[in-house]
Amino acid sequence: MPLAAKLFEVAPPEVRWLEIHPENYMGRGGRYRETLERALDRWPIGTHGLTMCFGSVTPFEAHYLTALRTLLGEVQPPWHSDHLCFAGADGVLLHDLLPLPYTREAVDVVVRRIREAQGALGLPIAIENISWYGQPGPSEMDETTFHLEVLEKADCKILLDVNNVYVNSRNHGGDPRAFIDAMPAERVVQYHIAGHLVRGDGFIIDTHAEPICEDVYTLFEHTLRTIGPRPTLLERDDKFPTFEALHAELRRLDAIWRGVFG
Amino acid sequence: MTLDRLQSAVVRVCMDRQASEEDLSLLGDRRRWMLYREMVRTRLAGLAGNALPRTKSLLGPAFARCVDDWLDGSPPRSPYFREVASEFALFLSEALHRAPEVPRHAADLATLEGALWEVSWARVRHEAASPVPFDFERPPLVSFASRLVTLGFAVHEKEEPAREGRFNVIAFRRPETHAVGTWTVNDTAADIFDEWTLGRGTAADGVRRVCEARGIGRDQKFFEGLAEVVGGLMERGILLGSRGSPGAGGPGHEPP
Repeated sequence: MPLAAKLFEVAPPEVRWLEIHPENYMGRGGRYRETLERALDRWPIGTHGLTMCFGSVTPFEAHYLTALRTLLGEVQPPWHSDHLCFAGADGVLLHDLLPLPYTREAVDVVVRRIREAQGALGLPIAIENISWYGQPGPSEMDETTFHLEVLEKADCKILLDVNNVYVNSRNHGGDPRAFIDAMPAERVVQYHIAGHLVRGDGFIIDTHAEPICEDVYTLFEHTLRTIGPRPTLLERDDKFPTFEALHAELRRLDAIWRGVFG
Repeated sequence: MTLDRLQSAVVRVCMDRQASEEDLSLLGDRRRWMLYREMVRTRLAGLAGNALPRTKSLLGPAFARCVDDWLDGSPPRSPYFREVASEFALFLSEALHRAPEVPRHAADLATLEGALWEVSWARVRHEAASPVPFDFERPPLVSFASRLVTLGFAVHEKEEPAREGRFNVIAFRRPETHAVGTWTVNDTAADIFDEWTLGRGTAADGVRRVCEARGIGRDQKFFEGLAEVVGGLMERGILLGSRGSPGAGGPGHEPP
């Protein structure tokens, strides 16, 4: 049975809300549309974009913002999140989350774009910290400072991806707890958690296709204790295990939550 | 180095047939940017193969070379991942028409699979365009989830070798079950489908224009055939009915 059908059938109590990538539903019909309508009847739904690309120097396309606003009007999320990255240039979209250099110019570009998005969508914007594997050109500040500057200057929220913090600390060094501890709790609106792939050479790729590892569960508990309770999403994009295996991960996250907050 | 120059360099590293050493040194860690190149290209090639599985199987190793040509020459532009496959199908179909070394029906297969991919996810109609029962004196309402393709080989029949000929094939998705299928129609029915899709005037206007262009008399036999076409279009969910109010929702197909 497909995962979505099983989710509707079982509707575990640990699933209190769902998240969609709006680009997968904007202007779309067929099964996707039907499944979204069924889900809207049952759960609150959050929206997490893939191609808003806050770090892109290319202006927003008006039709994209219009279609996104239409969908958000239907789904009614409390905020809309997308990634602190870019995804293309010169009219080309790479459909991947590409890192920004941590420069003052990049801060300015991102802040301008977030403000424009907030105005166009009429919703608070939350940025997600991404996993990154290389930096394009030299940076002028560290990752934490870059995020803090963007949050402050754009007056926006952050969707804190706990796995991404872990992946970056393993790949580039540093204490993952330091990044989390530095985030202003009042701006953190949501958590993401996921699995990743450890390659033979030890380098980690943020695949969302593996089970959550022990270190990330531990970091999640630290995050809850440091920042507090926030809606938490288990991300899984590929190599889907059984529904029961995913449900077990949710129960584990729920148990950590209850261990911290009672 | 300005942000726009860095981002352009990243696009070239990921999309060009070969990443230039100049761009790689501009970006920094060569290994890591080659990793991004691999990830981006693998994802896009995977999408292309998922959308056009029979074409991929028919072309074998040449399919990967076609993906390379596409990324190098006409890289993705849509913000919607699903539409990137349509961009590729269009590119591939045109490229295969010019490629003497591939099977002659390869271009038609890419065209057909591209149409099937699009109808699998397209909306059926604009929200504003509520259909009323079909009436020849009203503008017809044709499902957006339908595409007419004219093929030189019967690739829709899934038999090898594909028969050569002229085939007007409508790819469609049934609104209720979401099942995707094909329906072969004659040249007159294909022209009527085109007319009704463009949404110029009433259904009767469209039929009249086709008959005049083709020099067809509107006799008993014609009307019997037309009734069959209308029934076939409606049974498959291609023709949704007539527009409730003139122009509601706008005419024609959505752009892919």
